[in-house]
Amino acid sequence: MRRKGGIAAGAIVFAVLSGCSAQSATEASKNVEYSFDYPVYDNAEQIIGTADVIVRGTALTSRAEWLYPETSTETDPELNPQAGVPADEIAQWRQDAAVAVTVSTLKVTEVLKGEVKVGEQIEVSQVGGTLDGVTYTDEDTTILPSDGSEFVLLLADHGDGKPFDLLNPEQALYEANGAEPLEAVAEDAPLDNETTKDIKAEVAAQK
Amino acid sequence: MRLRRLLFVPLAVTGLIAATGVPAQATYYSGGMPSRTFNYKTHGINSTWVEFYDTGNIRWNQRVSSHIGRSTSAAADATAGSYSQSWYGQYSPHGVRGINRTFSIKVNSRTLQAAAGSNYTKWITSTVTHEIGHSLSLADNPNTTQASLMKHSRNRTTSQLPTAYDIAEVERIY
Repeated sequence: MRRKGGIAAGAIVFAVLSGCSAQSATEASKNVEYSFDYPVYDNAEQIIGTADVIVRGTALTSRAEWLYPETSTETDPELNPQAGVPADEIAQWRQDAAVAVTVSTLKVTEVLKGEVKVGEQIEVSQVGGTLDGVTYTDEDTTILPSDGSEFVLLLADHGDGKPFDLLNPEQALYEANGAEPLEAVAEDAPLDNETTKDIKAEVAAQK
Repeated sequence: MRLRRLLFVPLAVTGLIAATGVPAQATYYSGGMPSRTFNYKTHGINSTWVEFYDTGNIRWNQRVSSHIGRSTSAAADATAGSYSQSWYGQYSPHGVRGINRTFSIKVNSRTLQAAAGSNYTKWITSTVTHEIGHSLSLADNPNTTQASLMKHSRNRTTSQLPTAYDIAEVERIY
């Protein structure tokens, strides 16, 4: 899936910089480029049906933090990759295996699906951010700006006390400008040019 | 401005070829390793998951003349764990290609388990093999109508092995 805008030229510049021997190791160590394999949705019905929560809202603030993997008492070694691993090794592993994320606080202005309320503030986690002087980025992720812009987000619920996250960084985030059709942050997203009314109708049809 | 851009693109492509030895095609990923022979270590995972990574190594080694192995002294590393996010796998390169390149791979057992159902093992190996594909300089979502293990839209139950397209791309790049 392609991002909107001048991504092709940007990709060439990045490729040149990445392959260029003139780039210092120090510079490279300050920037880490993440690449994620994530679920892709074939159509609007599928992504709307999968979302736990669909809201319209505005990001108020954001913070970068480490997302640490969770440990479990599950003893099945396939279900729990840490089953049978010594405790001291797990403690060090959790530190090493953390992923940089940006958590935005979003004020909900419209609820299209799910158990949240208008006016509520929810947290949305996205990969990437600057921590300890290193900037982590994912080329597919558009970090929510805290500039008053309104977005429609299709979110996964990861349980009490945990931030939501987008089902897919490109297919689950849309700019919302008043009553205008939604504008996806990437090309070929299933809800591009749809309206919140269309989404509500699909949610109702799936009940 | 437009003229400057017209001049810049061919210069940039020429520079890329000179720097890396491969043309700037859409499927080339500069975050890969500089050769097909390298080791990585697994970290914080049990023997079942180490075997998943070994399976991924074998799937590439048998098809693209690579020599990917595991070594406890390797700088590159791979792991798996339960992350409260929707992604299945992650690859991140470190250092500079040709100088001090290493990488990290993470697989998200939590989301794979929730999405795959009875095909969990197959989705794990599809994800592991996909992530190792990045270390061989293959980019996500190649611009081709051919099947590819590197496409996010692949069927993770049936897309288990590097495809003819993936193999040809590795041969072209290296």
